[in-house]
Amino acid sequence: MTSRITPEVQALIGQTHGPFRVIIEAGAIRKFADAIGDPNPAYRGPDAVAPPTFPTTFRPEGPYPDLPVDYGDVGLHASQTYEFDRPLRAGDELDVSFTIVNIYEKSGRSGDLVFVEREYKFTGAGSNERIGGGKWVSLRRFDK
Amino acid sequence: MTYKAGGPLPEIVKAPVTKVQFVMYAGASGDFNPIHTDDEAARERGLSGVIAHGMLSMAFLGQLAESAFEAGSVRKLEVNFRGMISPGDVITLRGHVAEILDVDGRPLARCEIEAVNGKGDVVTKGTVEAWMG
Repeated sequence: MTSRITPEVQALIGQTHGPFRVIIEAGAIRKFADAIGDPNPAYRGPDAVAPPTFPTTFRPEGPYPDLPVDYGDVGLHASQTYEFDRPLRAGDELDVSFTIVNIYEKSGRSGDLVFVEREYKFTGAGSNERIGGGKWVSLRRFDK
Repeated sequence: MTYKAGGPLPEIVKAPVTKVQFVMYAGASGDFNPIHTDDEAARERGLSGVIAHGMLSMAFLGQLAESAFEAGSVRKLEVNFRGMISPGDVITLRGHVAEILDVDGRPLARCEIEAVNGKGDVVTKGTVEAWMG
């Protein structure tokens, strides 16, 4: 089998994006809780706690290292992890960064699969102290 | 509520997911991949219509954990996405405490959790670690 991982794709491993600044707003937490249909009162009000998947909202502005848009036939989310050293709350200001830590391929029944693993880190704004982090694994499928 | 190793978490049956919810989740999360909001775009990609963001099912599992324990209690939430969710699907969230760990004197529950559709297929599965106090 010819590897799907070309030198261009291989070169993504180790690339980092950020840090970019995120300000957690009470209104954004409430809208997120409304969208997921979670009535927990702790996610509402000026001192709201953020639900554990709220960091999905931490999206980079502008270009970031990724596979080419037309790479593969289908893009899917394989797995996701979030970790917290303390809960996130309205008013928190964070610096968020991620690094592509691995890219690997597998041969599946429906075609070749290429996985991209990214590790996230959240620190206080302007600080190196970790508050939390995560891992985002996506895949691209090359249909047979 | 107190929990013991092996004991279940209180099950949650979500309201049927809707296309409007997918639009709300797209806006709230910032994920505007059109396969979640635009039937035509979804069909162009070989789907029969829009599907839920996988992250919506992970958010449901976050609800399971923080309803069982408390808001802000999750130390780690880890899931694998196994299946797709379509409008109208009723998702049931369930789990059990696998073990209770002692972390510097603080009890931490490690739970196995899953989101199941109306046919009984597990669509999203994982583990959560939540502080018990």
